[in-house]
Amino acid sequence: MRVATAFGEVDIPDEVVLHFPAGIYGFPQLRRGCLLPYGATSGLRWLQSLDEPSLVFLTVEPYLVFPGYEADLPEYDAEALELTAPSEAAIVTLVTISAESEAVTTNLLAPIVINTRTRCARQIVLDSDCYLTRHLIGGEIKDDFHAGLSAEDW
Amino acid sequence: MLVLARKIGERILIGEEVEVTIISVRGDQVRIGIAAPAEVNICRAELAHQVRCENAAAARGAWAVREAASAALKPARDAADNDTRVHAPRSVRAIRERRRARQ
Repeated sequence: MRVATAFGEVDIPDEVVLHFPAGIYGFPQLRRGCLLPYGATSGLRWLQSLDEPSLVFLTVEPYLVFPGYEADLPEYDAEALELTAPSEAAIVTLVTISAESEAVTTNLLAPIVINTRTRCARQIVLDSDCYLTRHLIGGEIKDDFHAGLSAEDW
Repeated sequence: MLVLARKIGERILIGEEVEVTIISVRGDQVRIGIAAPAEVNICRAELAHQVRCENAAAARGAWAVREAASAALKPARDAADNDTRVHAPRSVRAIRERRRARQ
């Protein structure tokens, strides 16, 4: 289907649409979305709402930021997602670019977990003291992020 | 606010589908069980507030990046050029094993 996005109209095949039955925190209206590539980088993606063109997020694969990242999903959330095996789940985390500084962080405490079988997705707040909502991103991922941004703005 | 007194093991129904059970009370800590449909998010209120604020900041930041991003960072209009697959996970802790262990 052809969908209006933050980047103009984009063709989105039905099979890549993600369904968020509960929305995400603060955005209960986000019910349908999809992941779109961020340039040629593999770890970064846009999460675009398919119902609200101006609602877009940046996501990262958390393992690239925090190699030992382990999402221990609360049972309730695993059941709500109908996950029957860990191999069915894929995870991305939302990226925040601080307005005050140039810090790029990601929310490891509340990942977006996707059931790749049903394509249902859910933002899950982990029961963990190990992860922050603002985990600093550095290294290659940060370089990938900045590549292509015009210098006068950043 | 509605205030109810309940004993351990007793339940409260919120709407038709959300059921809260008092599991145990020890000192000033109460353990509660909640059964709710999948469309309902459940988490500690103070964390929900923090995550809502962070999501709002993430959306603002992403919009600013979109403005500043060169064409190379924007998705192609032709779906065939977009890699929209979701990649395999690497470390969701074994849900099935945990369930089995509990039974």
